[in-house]
Amino acid sequence: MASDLLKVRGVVPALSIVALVAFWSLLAILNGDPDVLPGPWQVAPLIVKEAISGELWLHLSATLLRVIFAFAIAMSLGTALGILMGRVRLFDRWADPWLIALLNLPALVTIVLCYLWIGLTEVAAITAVALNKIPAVTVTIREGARALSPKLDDMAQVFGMSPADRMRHVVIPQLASYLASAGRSGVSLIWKIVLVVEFLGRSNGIGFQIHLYFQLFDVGIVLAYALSFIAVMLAVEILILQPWETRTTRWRRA
Amino acid sequence: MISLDLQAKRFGETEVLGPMSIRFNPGERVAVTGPSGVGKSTLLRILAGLDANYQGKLQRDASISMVFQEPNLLPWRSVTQNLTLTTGIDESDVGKALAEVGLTGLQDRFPDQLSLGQQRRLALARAFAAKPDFLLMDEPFVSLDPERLSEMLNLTNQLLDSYQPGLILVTHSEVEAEQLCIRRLRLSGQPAMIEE
Repeated sequence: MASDLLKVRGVVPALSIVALVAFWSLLAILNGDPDVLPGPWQVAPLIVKEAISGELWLHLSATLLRVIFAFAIAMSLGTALGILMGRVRLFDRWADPWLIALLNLPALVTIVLCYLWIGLTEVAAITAVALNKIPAVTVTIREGARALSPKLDDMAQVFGMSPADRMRHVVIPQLASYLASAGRSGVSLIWKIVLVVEFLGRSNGIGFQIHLYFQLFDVGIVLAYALSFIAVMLAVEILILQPWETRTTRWRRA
Repeated sequence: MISLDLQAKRFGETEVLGPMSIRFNPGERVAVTGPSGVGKSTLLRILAGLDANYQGKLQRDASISMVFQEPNLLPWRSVTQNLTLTTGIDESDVGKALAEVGLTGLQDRFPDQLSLGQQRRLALARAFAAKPDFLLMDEPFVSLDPERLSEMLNLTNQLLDSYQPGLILVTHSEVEAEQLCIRRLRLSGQPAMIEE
């Protein structure tokens, strides 16, 4: 009976989240100081309060917009560069040292430099986040591009498929699992970097709020904002990424 | 018409194909035979425009399509899309193309839901649906059992008679060459040359 219940889709992840909240509650009780580690029952009302006041939506949407823009730029440029480096050996040889340099450039350095060179603007913030993610996307997609089937390339060439059709029907489907992997790790990394960017140089967003309440030593509100955005990212994973992945890999299960 | 004036084709330091001059006329059926590894597929890739790294000149004022050693289908696209996306035929013509190769009713399946024999038939349907002036075939019947081989040879013959394209067949099988082709080009030697 219990094992049957565990087979129902979504039950195990839900139980896992309940276990995490229970573990957090246990730590909060053992710690005994809500100023250091408030329990879920203390953070939840703070989330509701911030939501009712409108502050939560204001900062949540600001951060989400930055994540969306930076993600779109990083995925587009990273995918294009990855395909180019995976397919054109000469370009790969020239660009590889640049890629390694960018991969090892600390996120904080990129952010600070962007703010110094471009100014404390939205463009600088999004540029800094995108620049941090582009190399990682490029590396993942390059691996996929190196594994593309030369036999399908031959077929597409013989049958005179247009470059756009080749990209859409031959190349991208082969890269789907690499794109999903880059996308998933991209979303999680980007929103963390966005928070740093907001922490350092924006006047709204989750990172800005965390900065504000860090100065007031208010752990409860810091957790409230962080958890709210984690919930948003979980929703993105469940409502967008997973259905997209299911759709693009439908043929494997056929 | 397809004509090739080849001086040499090398892989690194090794000269695989030597000097040769070949001409394929419209509607002509030619078998390129020879022992394994002699360079038959390399020659076909040059004729198909898939290998441009050779010394010589290829002239081709004819459309081509190709049946490869493996079906080379798009596994993430349906049977219908495998025909329409590659050949440009309308969806309304897919039924006829599939019927010609005995795959009626399978248009919504994915290639992995077909047997290897059915995948080969789909590859054949794709090649003919493109209505090429020349059909290039590279060992298209390898690993088929005798019964399936006979079926595929008959089917290919019927389609060749019906569409009347020129045929350039690379094969090491005398049976296939005999059944499908009139003219033979035999490759032999190192580097390989033609003994007609």
